[in-house]
Amino acid sequence: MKKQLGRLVLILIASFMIIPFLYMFMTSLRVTYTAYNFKFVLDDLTLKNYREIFYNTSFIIYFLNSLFISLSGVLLTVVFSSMAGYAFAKLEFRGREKIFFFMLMTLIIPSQVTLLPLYVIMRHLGWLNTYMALILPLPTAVGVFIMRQSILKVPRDLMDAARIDGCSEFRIFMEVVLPLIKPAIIALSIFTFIGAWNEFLWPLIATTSNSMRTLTVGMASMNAQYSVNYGLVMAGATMTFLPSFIFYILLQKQFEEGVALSGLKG
Amino acid sequence: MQNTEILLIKEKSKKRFCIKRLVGKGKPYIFIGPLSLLLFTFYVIPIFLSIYFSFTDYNIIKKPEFIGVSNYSDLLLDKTFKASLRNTFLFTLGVVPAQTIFSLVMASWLVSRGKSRLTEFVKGAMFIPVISSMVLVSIVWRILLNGEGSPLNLILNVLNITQPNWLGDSSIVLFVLMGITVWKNTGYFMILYIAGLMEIPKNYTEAAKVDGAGRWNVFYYITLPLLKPTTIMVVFLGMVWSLQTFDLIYTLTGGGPGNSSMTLVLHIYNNAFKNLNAGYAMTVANILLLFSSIAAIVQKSFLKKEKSEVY
Amino acid sequence: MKKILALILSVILLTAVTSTETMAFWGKKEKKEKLVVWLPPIGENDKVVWEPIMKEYEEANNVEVELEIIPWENYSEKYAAGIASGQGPDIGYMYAEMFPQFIEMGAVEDLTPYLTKEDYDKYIYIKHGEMMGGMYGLGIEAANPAVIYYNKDILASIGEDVPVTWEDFIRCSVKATQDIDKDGKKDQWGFSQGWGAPYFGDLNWNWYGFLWQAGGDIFNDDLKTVKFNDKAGVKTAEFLKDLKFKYDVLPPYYMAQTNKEMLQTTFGPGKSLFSIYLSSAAGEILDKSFPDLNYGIILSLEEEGKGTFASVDQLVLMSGAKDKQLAFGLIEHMLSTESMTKFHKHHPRAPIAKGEPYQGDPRLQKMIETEEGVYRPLVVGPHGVEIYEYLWKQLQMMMAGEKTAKESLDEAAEYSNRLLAK
Repeated sequence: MKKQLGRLVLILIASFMIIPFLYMFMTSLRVTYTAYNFKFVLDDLTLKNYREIFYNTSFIIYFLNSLFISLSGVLLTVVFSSMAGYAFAKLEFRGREKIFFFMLMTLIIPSQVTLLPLYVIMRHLGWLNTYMALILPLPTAVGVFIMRQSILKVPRDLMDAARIDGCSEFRIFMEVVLPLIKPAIIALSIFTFIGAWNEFLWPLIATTSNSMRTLTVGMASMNAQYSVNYGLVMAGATMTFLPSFIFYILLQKQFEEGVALSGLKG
Repeated sequence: MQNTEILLIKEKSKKRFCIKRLVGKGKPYIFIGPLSLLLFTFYVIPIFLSIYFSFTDYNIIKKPEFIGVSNYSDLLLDKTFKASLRNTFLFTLGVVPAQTIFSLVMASWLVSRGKSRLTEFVKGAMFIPVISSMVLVSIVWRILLNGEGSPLNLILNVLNITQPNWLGDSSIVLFVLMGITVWKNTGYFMILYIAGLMEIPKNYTEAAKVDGAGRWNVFYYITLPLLKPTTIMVVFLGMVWSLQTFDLIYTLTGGGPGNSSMTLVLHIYNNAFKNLNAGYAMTVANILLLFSSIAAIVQKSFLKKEKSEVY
Repeated sequence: MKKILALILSVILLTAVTSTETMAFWGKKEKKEKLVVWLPPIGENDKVVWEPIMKEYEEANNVEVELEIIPWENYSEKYAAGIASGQGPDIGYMYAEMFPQFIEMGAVEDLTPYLTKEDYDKYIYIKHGEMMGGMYGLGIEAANPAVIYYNKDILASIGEDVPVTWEDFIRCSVKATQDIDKDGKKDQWGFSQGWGAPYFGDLNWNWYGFLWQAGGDIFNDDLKTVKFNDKAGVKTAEFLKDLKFKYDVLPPYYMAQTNKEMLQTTFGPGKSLFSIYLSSAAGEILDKSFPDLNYGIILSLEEEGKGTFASVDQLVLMSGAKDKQLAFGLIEHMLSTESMTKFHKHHPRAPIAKGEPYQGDPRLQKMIETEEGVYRPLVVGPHGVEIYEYLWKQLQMMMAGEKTAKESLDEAAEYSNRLLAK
């Protein structure tokens, strides 16, 4: 009996977690000018909203922008973080601990503090409303933290053997270390992608033209008109949610590894 | 002449040797260079800029005018700031324990049930809010909380509870926001705890049970202390994230009703981008930075006690 | 590993090469002048409607017109950011609250030198472009007043006529607030007014109209102090507060929803007698979602006088525009009788230019044409955004029961006067 009750509670909790997404999906299949349409009947379902989204060229632009920015962000973060993580984990140099500490300290800086100065910097550089402004600030110290954690585990002997063979430091990095930390790289890529994909505030203020807008910003704007087809809004929301969701379903294990890696001590 | 030539050659070869060594010494810096440059440009420089702007009158478009500490004295008169300070504190104080405890409970529960389709499903379901964007979540939650026929209220009706005025009652709106935040984040921390729990060698807990310890005692005296590093991480991340909560409040309540859900971060945004009073916004931002730093330093001292290898 | 890397790289390259930015880069061979226009989403799918209109101007003047639709949310912030980064538009759409900031910055061009005598006859709402000592815009969206919707069936059931004064309104609301299904809880409300908007936009329906009916206003004539906390203002605030705390005609969740949401959750489903919102909601929300609803429209109640809010949003010429004459020509083209006729065909509104046929909602036509003095826009005053935002929050606190009417108005006035004195 207790076990049954436990099961019930677990199912309830899990359902509570996903109710909003069910609503989002169900509404996206309806054409409705009121948001408060909670009918459970299934007879007025239609794909009309999705069709309108795909024919609405702006949505495709937003989607491609988000995709390009997120993927570039992943590349940038993985490359830079793994390089730095390698140095912090395996190389000896002056100030190693101090610099690492300062890097981690950047994590506590709330983005609203840096938002406006960042805007001013970007304006100075003439990078506002360009991909540079949206991609370059994406790497955070979390990346180097995860990379360092996992590179620490690479056995020293492997690297020493390569060094004796005369390999340059860089080659050791590329050919010995990187292949061994694949799970961490995948995990970092996933998190970076999703973080970049869901970014809202910075792309909002850093872009001024429609052609540069990202999906999250574009989607939020669809909700703000005076009168609107909420089904369309939800369809846009579903499309925004889908890539992260698909990623997650396919790579659930790596996700969990990534989270674990970011939390465990050495 | 020959001697000097030899000396010169020796000097040159020393230099070359030194350069080689320098490059060898420099290699690590080449590795950390790119990331350092990015982090410095986009995190460190903005902090200095922010401090600079807080002493100016700046509306983003015209050049900033130096006005001394007048922004800081305005802070003292700013009632909205006081409200946002109070709310930010309350919010963090509520969210962090709630999501820590909830995620710990869920993690222990799922681990104790062992691997099964149900536990995998629950794990997955709990993580879905984590991967969605907060903006999306806020838009949908506003609808769910306001609608008469929404599933949320239907459940309440079944339980015969009168539907509270979720977003309209200034005394509970902050709790509602906290609740949504916990809903969104717990999945992440639960996975952290699960990983931590898996690392605990089974023989510790087995040995204790053999010695006759009850389940609660095993948990309290063995499991919990061993989870300390994880807990510290969960609390730290939780604090950092909750201090930065923006999208949720911006979309759901705009700080209202009145100022009952106004937070520091929202106040900064309003001042910078709605009122175009950037100098003042940076003043508030610096206060927020101060608090975040304090939180980080406190966390570091806890961690040092644990002798963890994190740093 | 390498394969994944290669895959990622190729996707990036592909999207980079085909993205609109690079496309534009490759195609940027023409030497035509370009005019950038920023508009918010005035209707549901404007871009399609504007494009042929823009095309006419493009062809007639050998110029390229780039239209950006910027969402309402954060519209003014995006605008400021755009100007700040030197990437603002040549022509833009502005509403009253935005003007002060941008006029002060010198970002908006005074149109007086560009206008001819005929223009003053041509554009119906031209007098609303006069503000803060200059002529800063030409009206493009107007005559969409805030109106009170009433449920005809409920009104009949309580044996009342359409209310005229505040007293009538209160009486009707009280009568209408009932427990219809006799379950012990009230479920029909007199007035489904919403005070839960996150930002001050809902002042449009909840405050200005009533303030003007009481004979009050926001700013004093010198625009250096505010007067909304004078006797008329306090009377208005108390009227609103009493609706909840004395007469209890508002639904219990009045602090949680906006007026637009109230239309959808309460008035539309027939649960309230009165609701207040844009007149365009009749066609855009009520008819589409609640076709069985039997409702009527009241333009304004009458106390000391009549009055309701109807914004006149303007097209402005930005000071940053390179070819101002060319840009001004585009403004005139967009506001011409022909263009506006086309636009209003898709987006039913009152005419903007003289000679334009009325294509708005037929139910509103009589009201718009005969009662023009009743609906009006806000007076443009400095620091508008900050003042309205603060006032809204204070009124919210009042409606939540945390302050008296006088307290909240005085507090807002103190803040506003301090701001205006700077």
